[in-house]
Amino acid sequence: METTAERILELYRRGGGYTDTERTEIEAHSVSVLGRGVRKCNCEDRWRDAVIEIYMVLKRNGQITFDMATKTLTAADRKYVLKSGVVLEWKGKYYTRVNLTDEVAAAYLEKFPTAVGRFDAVPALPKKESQKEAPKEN
Amino acid sequence: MANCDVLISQDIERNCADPYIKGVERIGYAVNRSEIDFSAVEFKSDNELKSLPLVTGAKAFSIYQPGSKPFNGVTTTLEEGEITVVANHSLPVIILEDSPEISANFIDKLMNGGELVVILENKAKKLTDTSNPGGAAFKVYGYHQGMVLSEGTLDKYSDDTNGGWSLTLAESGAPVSGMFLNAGSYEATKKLIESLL
Repeated sequence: METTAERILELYRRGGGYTDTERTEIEAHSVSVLGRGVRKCNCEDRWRDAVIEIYMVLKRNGQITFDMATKTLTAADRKYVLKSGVVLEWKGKYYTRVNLTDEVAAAYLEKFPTAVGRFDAVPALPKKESQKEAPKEN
Repeated sequence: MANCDVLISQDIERNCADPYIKGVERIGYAVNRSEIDFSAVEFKSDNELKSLPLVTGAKAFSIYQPGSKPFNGVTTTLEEGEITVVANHSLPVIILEDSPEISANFIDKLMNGGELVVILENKAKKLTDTSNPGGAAFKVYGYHQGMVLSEGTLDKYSDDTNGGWSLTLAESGAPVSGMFLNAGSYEATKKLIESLL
């Protein structure tokens, strides 16, 4: 089950367009985290503003950590890590360090090898046959 | 080295299909300029950054502005420089807090020479522009010279700030009138910014 922090992070990333059910949920989170409901006005932004306020309080309290917010995985979990502030477009989808998979990264770099500078980490590539050291003669 | 092209190349028209509107959105994003990996920055054009990569471990910080006119007073003025006309940007920021944390982690850093690059989201985004959809959405301040603290006031009885801080960040002498962040589409640039946070 998602924690409040995980749920708010998800809503924060969406940045708006919340359903009626989600609005009810935001209202409840606002009361429990901020101690008050979503502000009353006819402005559409009030739901997004409430999510941002809740997000900031949770972040300040340490309930949303930097790692959670960026979903940065450790090297043990992921071999390819894109730099923050870089987007890759691959087969009609956008990838950042948040959602990039090793498979997509490997395929992208195979097609665009010069894009390696956009990554914080890439695994050492296996040497091609032609680059391998010649066996020593006895 | 080629000389700069100084020939204008666009009509100035009024777009009734996607009318221009004033203002910016409530959330801005600030990065420490010294943490930008300039060697990996990619340009889409002279006025558009395709990426804003940070050095490993660095991140951006969101700046939420309350009220109906967030970042009220954000301006760009052009003035004659020694050789060319240059752009000066001014960016007011309200901080509804007076605490040791906000002093130590934000204001004092700027007082001691911290330089920021700030991204604001324009309300006029040009989303219907078929050639460059969403290309006008995200504007970058301070990429060239850095946004530095030019003035600040803490007025405990100010109605404008609810008694909080009022800071002004400024960039002087930028070589272009506007710099935008555009990863290819509005959606792509939003994702790029998310990856900074």
